Amino acid sequence: MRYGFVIDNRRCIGCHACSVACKAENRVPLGVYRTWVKYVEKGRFPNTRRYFQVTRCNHCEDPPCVAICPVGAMYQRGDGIVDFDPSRCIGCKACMQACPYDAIYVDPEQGTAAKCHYCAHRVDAGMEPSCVVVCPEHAIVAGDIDDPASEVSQLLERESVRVRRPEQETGPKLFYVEAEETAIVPGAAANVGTYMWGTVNEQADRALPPAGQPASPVPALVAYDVEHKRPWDWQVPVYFWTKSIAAGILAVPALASLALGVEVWEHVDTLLGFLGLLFMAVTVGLLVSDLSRPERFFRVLTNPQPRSWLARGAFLLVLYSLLLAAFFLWSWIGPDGAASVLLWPTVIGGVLAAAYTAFLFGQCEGCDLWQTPLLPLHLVAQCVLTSGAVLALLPHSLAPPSDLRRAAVFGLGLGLVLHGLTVLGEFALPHSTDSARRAAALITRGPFRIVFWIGAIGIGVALPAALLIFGWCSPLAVGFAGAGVLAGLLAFEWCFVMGGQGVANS
Amino acid sequence: MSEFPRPGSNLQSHPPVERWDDWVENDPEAWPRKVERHYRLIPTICFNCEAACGLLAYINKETGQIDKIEGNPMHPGSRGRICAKGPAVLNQVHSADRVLYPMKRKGPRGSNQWERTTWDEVLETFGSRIRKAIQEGRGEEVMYHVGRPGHDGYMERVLQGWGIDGHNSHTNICSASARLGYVLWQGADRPSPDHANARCILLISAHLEAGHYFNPHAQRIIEGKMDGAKLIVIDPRLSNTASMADSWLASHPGTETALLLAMAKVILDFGRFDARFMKDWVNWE
Repeated sequence: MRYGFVIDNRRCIGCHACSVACKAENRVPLGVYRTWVKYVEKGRFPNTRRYFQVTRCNHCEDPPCVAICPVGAMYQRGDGIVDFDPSRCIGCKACMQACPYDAIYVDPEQGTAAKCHYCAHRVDAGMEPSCVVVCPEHAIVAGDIDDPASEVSQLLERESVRVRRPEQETGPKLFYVEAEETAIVPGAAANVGTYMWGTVNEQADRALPPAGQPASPVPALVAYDVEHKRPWDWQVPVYFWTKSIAAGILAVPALASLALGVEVWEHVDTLLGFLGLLFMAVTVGLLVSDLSRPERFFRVLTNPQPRSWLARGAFLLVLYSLLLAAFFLWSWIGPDGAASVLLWPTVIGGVLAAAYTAFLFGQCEGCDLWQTPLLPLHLVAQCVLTSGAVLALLPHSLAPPSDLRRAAVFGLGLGLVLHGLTVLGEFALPHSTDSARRAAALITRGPFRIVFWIGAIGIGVALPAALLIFGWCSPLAVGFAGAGVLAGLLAFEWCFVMGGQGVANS
Repeated sequence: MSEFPRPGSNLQSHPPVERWDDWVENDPEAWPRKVERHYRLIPTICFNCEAACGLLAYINKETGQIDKIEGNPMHPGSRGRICAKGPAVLNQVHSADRVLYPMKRKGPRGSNQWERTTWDEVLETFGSRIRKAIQEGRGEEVMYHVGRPGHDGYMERVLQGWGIDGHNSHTNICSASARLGYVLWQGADRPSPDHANARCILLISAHLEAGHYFNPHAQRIIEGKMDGAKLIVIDPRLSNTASMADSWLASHPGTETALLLAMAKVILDFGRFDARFMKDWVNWE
């Protein structure tokens, strides 16, 4: 048995009865929606019409929100309904990033994720979902798509149907009869955020018209949609940055010892261990503060959902923190150089702590820009970069200055080459989906362009590269290069995280 | 009919009538924990428009409050389906701004200061002032204004009994002109055409998704359309209805009469009408 919906656009008159019935049934607060009717107006007068699209959770066969949920609050039932348990949810909003359909919201009163759950509480009592019952036109049909006798199966057999965003390969079980291209494809109609009854979308970057797309021969405009705020706020790009610093803190000292034979780490091991722990504490603080139920953060560790990279990442962060703490304590209390046995294990722990986020972002299937296969490499490269920058900024009295500078220049140079190449790959290579291309355009040509070109590229890559090439033996130039790299990387994380969430999925 | 199964489905659309006195549902707010809530389902009528669709009020037996409102499947017009205004009746019932008692102005007019009063005082005050006005020959100073006159005929008779032409409602600027036309033409002010079996449906600024009567009519208009009826819409604006039309004519507001006369002329001039039907059924020679 697999429950699904067929929405028959030949019948739908866009009356919003479904939206209101759902709100009443499920006590959905103001400002958020489990189902809504998107309107698109297409054509030029008098050859114009409005299209209606009832929009909601697709109850995917392979739901990305379930895979990413760190605590098993989102789950798929045996009958195919994707349901959720607010009492488990920690409010991490990862499911919102995983959903390529903008179907999930955080309940403003509970601080927990919610969405259409096919009125599972009614289904279990033998009743149809509320929207199906209320619909004046019987345009929403619910039933078992495995049962050939059901109305949904018969409609599916007889009519040609479409699902939203099939390229996401999630197997939506909501099928539209006579879907309208400009409504079903996000971004196919211009969306300026000003709708029939007012302006709801205050996120200017989301309202950017589809960049670089050939102008449609027939103009289309989104006349009504609901607001979807960017799920993750400033804490997440800053977390990227602090975590890079924490995770990479020993990387360049270890590499310099291996590649150049420069044992600079022995002089600064305690300091680096301390700095790593400090940045790790800030990282964890940022992660917890971005939860809408921060008091439940520990459930990631006590009640982990093993497929979630958020849960896996939490354990990797704990592992790295323990290694780093041991390294710090041993280097502080133990005899000189004794921490060397812990150096490489800690560096490897740092690589894991750095790279796991790439797999977490890979599970964020609602953000196509983040699906780049270069991301694990990029996060490790960022660690090398920040590690070099930290060495470049260390006071020269702490270690033999030429050794310190050599290690710093080595780290910065290697990091800049790797970082520069991966940024080039992420933004200049053709994107696999239109959504990824549009997110990249938001960053390189849209509202993030100044932060990206001046901050991330100018201050973060070009300036440090020039300083290193023309003044590599000057301590001042290396110091400035380190500072530029750190500032530029923060700008880059900002663009990547905020811009990556900038493309609407509905 | 007391059960409401959906053909080909294991799910029902509405609770069976036998269980309306004690209907059990899972509390949606406790879900996925199964917490049973017992309801008494009371049939009632929606008066957010004059279509008067059938509603079922779900009365929580524990609190005695209405928890939600659905359509009444036994209602022949709305057939258990309702528009957005139906479930939203809940907001009217539980609104924090709802006036629960008769209120009397306290301060100066416009100061928005009110105090609670009794129905006795209201009736006393109004009755004596109306009576005084009538006795002193100032009957034209009395006006009865109501949002929606749903008490067909009663208040008209009262006002006539007083010898007063003082009935006023929003209908004057809303459906009055259309309804006068219907009365003159076919003797009923709120016709309910057989849309489901029509071959061609003409809507003039009448809507599928908004305004009066929309739900029962829209159900049958779309049924007719699914069976192949053509839908023609005359509407100055791009409404949802215009969007569903096979043909949409965007008239200039106020020119509809001229348009209809022109259409009538063409029909007459070119003999595009069923003369036999007109003779037999509307005595039209």
